Amino acid sequence: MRNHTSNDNGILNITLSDRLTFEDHEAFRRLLTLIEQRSSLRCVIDLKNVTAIDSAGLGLLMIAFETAEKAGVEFCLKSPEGQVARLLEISEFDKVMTILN
Amino acid sequence: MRFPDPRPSPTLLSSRTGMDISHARILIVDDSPLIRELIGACLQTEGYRNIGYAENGQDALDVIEETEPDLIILDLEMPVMDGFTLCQKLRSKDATRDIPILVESGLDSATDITRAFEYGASDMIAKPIKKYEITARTRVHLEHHFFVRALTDYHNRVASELEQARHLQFDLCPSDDDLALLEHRYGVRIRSRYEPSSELGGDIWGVLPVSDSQLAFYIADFSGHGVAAALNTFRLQTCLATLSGHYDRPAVLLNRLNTFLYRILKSGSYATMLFACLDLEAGLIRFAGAGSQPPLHMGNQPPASLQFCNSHGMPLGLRPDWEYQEYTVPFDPDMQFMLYSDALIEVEDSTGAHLGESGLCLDMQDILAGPERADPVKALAGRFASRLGSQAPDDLTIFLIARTGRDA
Repeated sequence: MRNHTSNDNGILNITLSDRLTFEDHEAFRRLLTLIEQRSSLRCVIDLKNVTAIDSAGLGLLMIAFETAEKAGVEFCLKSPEGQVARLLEISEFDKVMTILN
Repeated sequence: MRFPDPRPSPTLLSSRTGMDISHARILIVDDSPLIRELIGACLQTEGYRNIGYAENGQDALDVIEETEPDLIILDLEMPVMDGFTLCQKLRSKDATRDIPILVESGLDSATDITRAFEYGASDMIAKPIKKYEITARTRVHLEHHFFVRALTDYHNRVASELEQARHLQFDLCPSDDDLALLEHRYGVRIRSRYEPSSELGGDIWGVLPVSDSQLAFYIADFSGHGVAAALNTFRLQTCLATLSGHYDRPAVLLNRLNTFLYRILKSGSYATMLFACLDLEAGLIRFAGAGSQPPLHMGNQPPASLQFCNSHGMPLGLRPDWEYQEYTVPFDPDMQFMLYSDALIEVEDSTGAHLGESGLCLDMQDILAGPERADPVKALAGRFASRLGSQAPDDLTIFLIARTGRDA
């Protein structure tokens, strides 16, 4: 996983790319501290360039949502494609969090 | 000569790793009594108290036969059997292959040194013997030897425990005998495949009789692999056993399992599951999914129509109090219904893309049209294995149930 973060007008934008897997656990945890700091009222995780996600990666997205929920930060996933979109769909993540196409 | 009984060490030998190496058995092999004594004295003053002696290669073999040393200090030029030959003999036997051999010799030409290492020497010291050198090298080789032995023992113990656990895990899933009885009782044919990616997997499947006309079955897959995921399959099995009253109501069952797993799993960990109940009288299968791959339904009119069933649902253990949706599909004679773990469609095809549901569908059409249709699960597993190649494996589970003819 590679990531790029920016803070624009109170929105924390996290752009992920490549694969989101178990190996990204530590790097992802560091991104969560940005959400916990509540420097932004809104967090958007852009998944457009994520090509694949494994079961641990899906778990990480749920942890990100819960972290935001606890910090009172509005949360959404953006532009999932292919296998990532399919996995989010069969797992009904859209019933818990906002997923923008 | 033999190893003497260990005596209390005159000085405390301190190993840098904190390992007690004063009890190490050291065999000194040299035809000169003076050199043997000199080396022995050097080691004794360091605290080694278990030193044996031999005066040539043959003598050394006799001693080693009786008690294996932890280190051999070896001269090269000796009568009867020289050091080169002894090295060669020790390295050719499993029992002595790994004993460190520290060669001390007056031979110090490049050819001799190369030859000694080729024959299996671990290290070399040139004569005349210097106390600091021989004691330092002795210590390094002993520490290394004991450390590797401890690691090997640990590795072997863990490997054997994992093997036992693997057997226990396979025992959780129905045996061929169990399945044969169920096939006869319900007029169905069941084919399955379960391949953990490592010693222990996070997948589990099962078949649960509900009544004379109802048979439940499921597959589940815990996130992650290895011991933790495997232990969770046991917990799931235990919880399932307490919910037998809900086997005919898959959505309710998943709701209860979700509540149980939400309580015990750590944040971000979960299980996907597909739970189904075949109702022979109604001629249908009721099922509910929790993030599991959509089941594949196969019709009974050739060419068989294939359809992936909707089975959306939150994976178990991620959110509290989740309501699951129940779906039904017809299940008349000669229809088939297949559950599978995500590994089956997430494997990469020859173009490097995920096989996906469309790829699985093409595979199945091909299989059902040819001689492999007698056991589609075996055929799918074969294709999976050939595609997997060097890709990192994931646990693979496939379960297929077919309703045999009315006369079955």
